[in-house]
Amino acid sequence: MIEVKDLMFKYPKAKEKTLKELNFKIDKGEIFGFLGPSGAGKSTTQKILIGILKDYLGSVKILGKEIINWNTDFYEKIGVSFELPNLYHKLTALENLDFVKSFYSGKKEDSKKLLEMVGLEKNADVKVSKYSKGMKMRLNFVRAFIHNPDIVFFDEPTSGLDPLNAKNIKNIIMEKKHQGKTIFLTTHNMTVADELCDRVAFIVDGEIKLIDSPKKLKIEHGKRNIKVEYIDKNKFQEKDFALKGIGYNDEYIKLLREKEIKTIHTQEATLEDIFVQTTGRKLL
Amino acid sequence: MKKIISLSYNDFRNVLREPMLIMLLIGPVAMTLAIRYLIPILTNLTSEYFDLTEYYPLIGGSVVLFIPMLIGMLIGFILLDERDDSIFLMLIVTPLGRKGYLIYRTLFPAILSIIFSVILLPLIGIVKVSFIEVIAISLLASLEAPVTALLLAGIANNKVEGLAISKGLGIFLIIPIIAYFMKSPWKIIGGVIPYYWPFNAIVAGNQGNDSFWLYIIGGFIVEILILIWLVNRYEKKAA
Repeated sequence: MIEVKDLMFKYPKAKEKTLKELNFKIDKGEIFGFLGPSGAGKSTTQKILIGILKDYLGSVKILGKEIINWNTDFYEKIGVSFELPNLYHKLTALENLDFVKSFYSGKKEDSKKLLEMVGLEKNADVKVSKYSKGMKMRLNFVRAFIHNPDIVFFDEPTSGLDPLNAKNIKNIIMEKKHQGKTIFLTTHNMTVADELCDRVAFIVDGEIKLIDSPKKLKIEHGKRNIKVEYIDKNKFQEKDFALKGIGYNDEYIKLLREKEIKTIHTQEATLEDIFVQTTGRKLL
Repeated sequence: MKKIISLSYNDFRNVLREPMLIMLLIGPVAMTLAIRYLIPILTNLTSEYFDLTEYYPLIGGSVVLFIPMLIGMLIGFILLDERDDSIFLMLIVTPLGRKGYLIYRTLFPAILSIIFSVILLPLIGIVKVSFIEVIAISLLASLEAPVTALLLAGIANNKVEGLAISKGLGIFLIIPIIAYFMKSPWKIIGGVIPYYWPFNAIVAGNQGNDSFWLYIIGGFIVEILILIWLVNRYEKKAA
């Protein structure tokens, strides 16, 4: 669906290249996470992929066609939801959706159904100026699906949302993946990336340091250990055990039998730990 | 065509929801009617002291400038709203595209201004120009609407600044009027101000002067050049 080869980009007045030889490929039905700290080149890459920045070097093929060769039909195929909501404040949610919908020609979604998906159906006829930040984010998010696009780009889709709504947004993304949509997710939220993405790319200073599936990364970079927390002499204690041969580890089994166990966890690395390890940089 | 209807319907809807913008929309009509009915009364009242009819071309010329200027401000404020809310970014990733948006935003104020001018100029009643001349002046003056809109949206960083600048735009009305009273050939310098040309065209047209078409043609060249520059500038600032 998306094929990027040796992508380079430099802003006219910048001294250094913002993007240095990016290479990646995204398949149909995949959720691909683009992770990195602010200023790493995430937004620039997304702007190139959605056809806003055109004077790049290298090749960017979307749906088999180089992006500069696409005309505005391209936008029938892709949906975009930017980080900051872009909405008409004087219009209601329904008017906002219907207005944008009028530009598309193919099969379209029912505006009211979209509002229902993000729990805004009761506020469909309320002006967006009366919306809270989270409500605007949800409306902005769901608008990206209005023309039933094949590829959808999201920039920090859960930022500013309460946990319940964030969970709902993540569920919608997963549901769309199962319908065969390809999703490009830009974020610096590692938990979101971990929960949703089939693969993630770590980008720092305009370079991709690593591309892999979160699950594989966590296992590879994790310690092969189990940490047990238990109560002993009225105090919290913890102890690590090697995973290898754990079933024959007498000390471990004795502990399980004799002490009051509070938690048992395998020690996979978090995506955040791996990011810091591989890039030497912190997020944010 | 469907997209244009949708965009203009949306513009009108946005205008009708903000009192300040409604004022800008009815401003040209109110001004035309005021001049048509109040100026003759004023002329009678002042006839003992001086002859106001001498200044009719000047008054008529101001209306010619005022119509596109008010419409330009109207669209300028819409542009500022659209930029404050990052609407530009959202619209250029629809099939409308960047080009479609910029063309619409340039042509819509011009067309709106032509419609207003063609209807309102004959209603002023105090200047004598032929129908062909009304059309020519309306077409030329209509370019001022996108010029004003893009100037406003190009200079102002937000709506509050836009309000301040819209008041300052009045200076552009004053320059052609000062030039009107100047005898020196150097008054042509006023020609860098786009408003200079349609103003002088109506003055020349009223006097049955041949220079009418010179002002029309000169005006088109100057205004189109300024417009191209402003569109490029706006595109860079908005994206």
